[in-house]
Amino acid sequence: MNVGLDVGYSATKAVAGERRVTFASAVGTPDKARFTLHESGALVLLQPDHVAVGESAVAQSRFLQRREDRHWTEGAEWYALALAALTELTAAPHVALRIVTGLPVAFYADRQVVRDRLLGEHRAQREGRPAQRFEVTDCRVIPQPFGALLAETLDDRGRIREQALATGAVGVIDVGGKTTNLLSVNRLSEINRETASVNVGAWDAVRAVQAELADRYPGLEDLRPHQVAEAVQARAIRYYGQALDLTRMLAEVLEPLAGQVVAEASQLWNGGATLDAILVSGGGALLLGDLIRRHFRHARVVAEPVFANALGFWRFAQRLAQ
Amino acid sequence: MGHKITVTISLDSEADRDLLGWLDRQENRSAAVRGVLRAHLSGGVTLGDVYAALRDLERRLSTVTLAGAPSEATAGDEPPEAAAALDALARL
Repeated sequence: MNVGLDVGYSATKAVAGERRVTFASAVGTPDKARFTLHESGALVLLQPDHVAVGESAVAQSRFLQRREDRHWTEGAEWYALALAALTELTAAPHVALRIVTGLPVAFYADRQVVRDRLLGEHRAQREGRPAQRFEVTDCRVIPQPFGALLAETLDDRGRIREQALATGAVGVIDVGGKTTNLLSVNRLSEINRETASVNVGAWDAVRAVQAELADRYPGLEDLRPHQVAEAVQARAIRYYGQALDLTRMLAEVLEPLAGQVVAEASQLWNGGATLDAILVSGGGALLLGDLIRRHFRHARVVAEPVFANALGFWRFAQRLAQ
Repeated sequence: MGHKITVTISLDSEADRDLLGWLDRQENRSAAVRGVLRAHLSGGVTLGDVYAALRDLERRLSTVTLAGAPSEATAGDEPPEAAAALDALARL
């Protein structure tokens, strides 16, 4: 099975053919509701560690682990997220896998760490399921923003379908949780001097909104970051039974964030006039897309921006399998 | 949450020895059977499926004349520089 895997600071995404999964990148203690009126669907791993993962961890865990440092790919949390994603893709007891994944441009030197972590045999067990064995026979780690570019350029067999993107000069603005990757390619070859990472992302908006909410609305001080992230996406939050509109608060937060991304991209790409297209991707694309388009009129948010990197990784894995 | 439904199935001590052996090795038989059924329903591939696909491929190939080189249309589908860039990406 070929898999595109994108373990981000904010959300974990994985694609294998028609199957797509995403969940919050949160790992916590396996605490559960004492009773439930419906099928819980909780993502609880018994192996490699007994932990709750994703939305069930956000909602139920007493203690959440959430790292945001460069070395998180070496930790147990990252490993649990990666294996949880594989168990979401398939329930088969033994699967051979080819995985393509990505790393932010600034951390790309760490690719061997990720490759070593994923290659070989892994055992995982979900609560209520038999144990599974994943055998990763091939693993490629490519610069993260290539994912969105490949999603737009390749078809499901991994063949080039968009000649204009494949033969042109293209910029990618991939707005992740912690970092925004700026990639420039010509005929799909990276232009190194026009490629960089900026240390801002959607979590900066989440943190700013979290601080504002705590400051202005008593009772919202203890929201978890992923709960605030949900509110940011919905642009509203429930407050004493009423929907609180966050549009204005978000505008105040997002304008300077987009300004920083646009300033960096303009500097790298000399205004962007010579690029044939600019693709905006990542979970933050839904927040910043319109603001980026105000400056780069040929910028467009890719289809399924949240899944774009994982989808591109999967299409690239399909190509490798030919 | 739904209520518990107990389903009984019959197995032959000789003919289904392999299945009985597998069931005996499971810590939680119900969970194991549920997992296998779900994998099957979500498109799990069986040896029977693989055999059927191979027979189908064999049948199709029997009507095809193979040429010595790939057709020009296939080779020329992709812009060479972009294809080379993708090859380089795979080697990173």
